[in-house]
Amino acid sequence: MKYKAVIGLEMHCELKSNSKVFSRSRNGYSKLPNSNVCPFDLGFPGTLPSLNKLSVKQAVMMSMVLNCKLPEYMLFDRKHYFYPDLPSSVQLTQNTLPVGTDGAIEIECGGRRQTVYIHDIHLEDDAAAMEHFEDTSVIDYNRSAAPLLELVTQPCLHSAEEAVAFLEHMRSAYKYCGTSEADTSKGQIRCDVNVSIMDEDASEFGTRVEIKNVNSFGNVYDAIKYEVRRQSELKAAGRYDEVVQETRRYDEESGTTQRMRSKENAVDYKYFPDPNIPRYRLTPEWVESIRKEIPRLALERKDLYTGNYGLSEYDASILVREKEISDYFEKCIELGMDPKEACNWITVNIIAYMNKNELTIDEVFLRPEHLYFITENVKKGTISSKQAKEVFFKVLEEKKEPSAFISKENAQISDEGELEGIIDGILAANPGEVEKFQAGKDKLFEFFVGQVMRQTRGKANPILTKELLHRKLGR
Amino acid sequence: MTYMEKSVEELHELLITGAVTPKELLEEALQKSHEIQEKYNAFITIVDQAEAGEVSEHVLSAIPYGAEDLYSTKGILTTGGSEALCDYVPFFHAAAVDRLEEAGAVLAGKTAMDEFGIGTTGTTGYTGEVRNPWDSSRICAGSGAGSACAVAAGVYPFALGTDTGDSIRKPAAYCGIVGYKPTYGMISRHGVFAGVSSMDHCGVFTRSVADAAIVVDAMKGTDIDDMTTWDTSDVHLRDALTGDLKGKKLCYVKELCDIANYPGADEQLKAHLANFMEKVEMLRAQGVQVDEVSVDRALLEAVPSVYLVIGAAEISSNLGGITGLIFGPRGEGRSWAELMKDYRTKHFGSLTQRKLVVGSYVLQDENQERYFRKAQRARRVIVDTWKELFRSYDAVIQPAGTGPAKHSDSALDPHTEGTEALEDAMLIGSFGGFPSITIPDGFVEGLPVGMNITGRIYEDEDLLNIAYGIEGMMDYKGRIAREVK
Amino acid sequence: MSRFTKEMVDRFADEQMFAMSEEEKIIALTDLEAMEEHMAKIDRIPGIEAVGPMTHCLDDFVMDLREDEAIESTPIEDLLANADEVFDREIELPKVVNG
Repeated sequence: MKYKAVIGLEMHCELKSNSKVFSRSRNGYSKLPNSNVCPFDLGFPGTLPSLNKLSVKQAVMMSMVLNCKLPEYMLFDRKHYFYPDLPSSVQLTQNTLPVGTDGAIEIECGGRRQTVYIHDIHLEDDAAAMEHFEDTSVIDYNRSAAPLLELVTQPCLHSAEEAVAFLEHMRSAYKYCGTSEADTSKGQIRCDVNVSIMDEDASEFGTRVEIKNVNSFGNVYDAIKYEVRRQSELKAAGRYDEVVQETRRYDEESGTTQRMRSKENAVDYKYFPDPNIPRYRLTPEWVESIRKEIPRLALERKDLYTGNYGLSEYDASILVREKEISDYFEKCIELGMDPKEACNWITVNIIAYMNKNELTIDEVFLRPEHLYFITENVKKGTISSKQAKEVFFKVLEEKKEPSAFISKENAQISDEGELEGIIDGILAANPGEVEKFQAGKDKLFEFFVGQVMRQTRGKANPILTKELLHRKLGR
Repeated sequence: MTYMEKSVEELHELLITGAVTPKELLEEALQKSHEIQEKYNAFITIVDQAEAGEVSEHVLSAIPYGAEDLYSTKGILTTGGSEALCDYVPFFHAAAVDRLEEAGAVLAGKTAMDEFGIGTTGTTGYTGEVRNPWDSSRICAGSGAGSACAVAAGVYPFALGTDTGDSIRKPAAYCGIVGYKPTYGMISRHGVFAGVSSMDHCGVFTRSVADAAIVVDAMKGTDIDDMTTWDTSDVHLRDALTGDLKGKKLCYVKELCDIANYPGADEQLKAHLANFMEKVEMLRAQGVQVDEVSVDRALLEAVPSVYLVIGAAEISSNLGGITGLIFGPRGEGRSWAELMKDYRTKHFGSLTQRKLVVGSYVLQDENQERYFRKAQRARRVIVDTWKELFRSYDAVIQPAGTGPAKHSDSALDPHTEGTEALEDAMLIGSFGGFPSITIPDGFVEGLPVGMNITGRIYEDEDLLNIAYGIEGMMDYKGRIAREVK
Repeated sequence: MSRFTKEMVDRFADEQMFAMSEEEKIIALTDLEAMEEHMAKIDRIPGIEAVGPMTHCLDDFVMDLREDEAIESTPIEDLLANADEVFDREIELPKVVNG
């Protein structure tokens, strides 16, 4: 790459809650337009904002996840512009005092660790949604006044890979914290991408182009790749002046960025603090209690699993893909299971079962306690590992406790005395084979093992059986 | 028998004993509304279809009242005094209206006002000028002109208003009645069209301090839909009225009230200030300490300017949602922008449009520090100065405005140089959210004038009691307007 | 020479989504010019720079935030009762082209 790419991201994430951030109507998806609304959402005269405590808590939590500076109090600003999807022509946001500023977070990209610097994160409300037909558009206010957290990075990313790695890291963080479902397929994450290029040794940034409303990580990747190439080709051809500061959109079909209808003047948003929302003090006690609720996040868990438990990168990555799965894994460890063994059961068997039946791990009947019970019984010798697999699947299918399938009848025979008795009987019944074996026909050993298995209907502990046979036969 | 000219408590007594029925009261109110409408133009909607109330223990039950057309009333036209909302029928009540309904009061009319509560004369509403029931060639002041007029004319014992600058307290003075603006956040603004959000107060017009206390007792309360409301469950305004002013310390500002400040003063101003000083002496004679204090003239003279800048900025922000897209008579156009522009051009009145221009100007990113934020700093200095006064005094009193109601044709009014500070001094009550009340305290040239009394934030009981005591020393309570000519 | 022009008035009006008549623009210009006098009066107050801007009516306002409980949605008939152009359950307007 001839030039250095400089990328900044603005990531909007829809927060998860029962009610919206500034009104009490329901915050959630609905197929029916205008079914999660109240007067404030449509800007009816005389309506006022009513701030949701949970939205504030979520904002504070994510600010801390990004290691940002927290302000002394929450303050909201009015941002003014006219557009059909903004019913009161005012968006409530945080321009003066965002809930988080000057943060930094470590992510992993291509096996390397790097720090991404955060300009700010702020809480704001969403606009309505429009649908366009041939000659008309219609407006659905279900999303109006719903909570959004917007984070703005510094222009410190230098490739499409880094950008996507950061977005994936944040998506995981939101899901781990439970503050957002962070599902791009549901449109819950929207990104604006700022791209510019500069000479490797230059000190001044190049012309910055904004690509607005890129809604899948794949598109973010492609948009960056395309835009960097577009700008680079122009610069290389001596036509860098054709790269202008503007807003573009990513066109998925053509895989290109396109100029949006640009405005002559930059919009003046006339921000000022909203007098209807008094300052809300973030007490140290509350902040501390929120901090305690932040779970250990994916990257930290992965390091723990590879470092302390000796799991492979690959396996650890699978375990931390979802918090519920790594919680499950950690519960197994807590109960006393061997980490590698637990990992194996989960990554090989449980996840396959989940995928096949389209279940989440929390919906799977077999809990860590059950898994522990099964593996303990293998350790004790009550069942063989082959039997363990059978029990495992029976528990899953029939949704019964494993103890239901481990009983005296199908218990593995591990009692030495009992096995000795059986072996003596078989050797006595097959004197000819014993003689041939003693004479050197090694293959007959398997015959004796088979006979023990046949007689015990497969329940004899195979390791113990072989040990005893060797002893009895003398070799 | 004219019942609607009586006080709330009197009416309640009569209702309880059956001397009058709810239906009779309502009919009288509606009839009177129609009678005075042509002459004074106080109403936008007379609710002929209102149902008579039921008598209960509550002192407000079955009593008809009017509300300024800024209060959302479910199923009843609410225009904000603007053609832009000439067909808007809300589907919910303002919180304050809800509470009055719970108390059993009967909404019988929506009163006229300055468009969106912006003007101060009562002449800029789209339904035209509201005229003064004491002299129809004069204004009622604004924005709550219609409510003031209706109460002064004896249509109801109380009517709702909003006070952003002095839009309850000045009309009350001009109409010879009581106008009370409680502490900010005492009454929920949910459902009341927003004007200057940091200064909008809900309040009431009545003909006595006791009635004002009763009505606000019923209207007040925290509201989950208005974050600026605070817990008033321990505030009992009517119960606090003892009239005992023993130990109370009042003050007035020399730079506003002393005639010596106005060389070349016209006769009316002289009479107005003389009347005020007479009342000061009356108070002193009754054993109330009334001190003269001094406040930097520069501060007082800047008060109207501070209001203008902050007011224009906030109203321009609040009117952003009036686009005709969801409510109001939609404009015409081939695009959303054309639609909105056509609507706002056609239906916003002249004063409103001018305010939007000024608002836009002072909120420009490059101008904000120099205009808007500077005005906000000035506001703080002014409020701090008043808070400093309240460390030593229980109330600040002053004459309301510079005299009686002004003429519709301002050329007919006398004018004295340097009276702007006095004219607009009641704005300070709104700046700081201080509880403030105007009560009638005399006549000048046959027309009523008022005294404004302002108290400490959150101490409405104290303030009302002081007003009640002062009112009791005079004989202007309960007067019905009679045309002077 | 005034710093304010009719073009400025046009721009401010346009920002607020309306157009002003010629006569009104002249009055608006005097309003803007008056701003300078108003600011001059404000400038005469001592101690302004030493204090912060007053953004809310009541300082030191302590409050509880509301809990995260949702309410029933407004019935669609009420919601759209005042709308002039409606399509099924939604507000309808001329097609909004990407801008």
